[in-house]
Amino acid sequence: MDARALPLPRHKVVGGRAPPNPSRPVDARSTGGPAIRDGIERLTPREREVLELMAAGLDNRAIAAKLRIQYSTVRGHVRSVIEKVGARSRLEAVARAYRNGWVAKE
Amino acid sequence: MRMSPDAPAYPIPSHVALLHYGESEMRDAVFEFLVAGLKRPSEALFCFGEPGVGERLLKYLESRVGRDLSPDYRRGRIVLGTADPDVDRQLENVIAPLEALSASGFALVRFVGIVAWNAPDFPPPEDFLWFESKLNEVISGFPVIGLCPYDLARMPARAIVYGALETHPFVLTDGALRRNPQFIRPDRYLRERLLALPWLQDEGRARVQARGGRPGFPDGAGP
Repeated sequence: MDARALPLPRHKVVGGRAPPNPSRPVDARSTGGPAIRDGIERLTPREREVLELMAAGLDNRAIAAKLRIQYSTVRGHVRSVIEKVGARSRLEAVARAYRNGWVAKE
Repeated sequence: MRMSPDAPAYPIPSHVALLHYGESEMRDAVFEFLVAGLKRPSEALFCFGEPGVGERLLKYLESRVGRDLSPDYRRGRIVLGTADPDVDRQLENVIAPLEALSASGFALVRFVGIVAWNAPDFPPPEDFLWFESKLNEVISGFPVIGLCPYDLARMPARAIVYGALETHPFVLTDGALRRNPQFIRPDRYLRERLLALPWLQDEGRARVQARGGRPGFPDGAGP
């Protein structure tokens, strides 16, 4: 199956609080939540979308096609997601997202 | 799905795990696979691995066929691809050349990806496993036979199970190509296998730290 033809992800990002300004990540210090939530709360809405698609198994090209943005932009988002959630790899970021309930099956 | 006229009869496209013992057995099988393509001008060769692996494979091929292959390399019929610790870049290092070779009109691309495990120039094990699984989707859009050698003598047993057997629809061993009943489709593999990798769990990370921060299946029969 062509990754670019994958159906919409069956997962949805949950947890955290929607940031008031889409262009700015929420300051984790202001949420007062437990440390485990800091990762997701530092993500911008776009980064959360990207994490959702990563969790659905899409590669960067497929994510770019789905979100109608440049591959290089997706690449930047993915690197940022991995860094912000404190993972060392793409799969570790996805695993953390599932384990911490940041993405859940609908 | 059509069949190649070569023996074994590889489906096209196909993603095949070559199970071998040691370097010489791998070289023989890879040579047989690649030289069949060299004989047909309509076919291209794509050698992929850690930095320098493709070049060494090309030199080996030259020594076995007894001729200079640099003209084929220069005109793009032979492509050397490099692994990358960043799995996204590594995936792109495969997709972009496949697109270029396909656009050049080659009827078939013979891809050999020399597998490394937990190597510095390779993605981390969990990302590499995702990459192997993802290749099934990637190559479905191209006329390609992908051959991934797994050294049974060197790789941890569970790396062979997870990496070779569960991500390749076909296995090649002792010259015989077989459909692989242990193959798991990529979407299921991600959810049921990759996300359950021991070192990605909380308790597993503690064991990784105890091992000096080296993730992945330990050598031997460890947990």
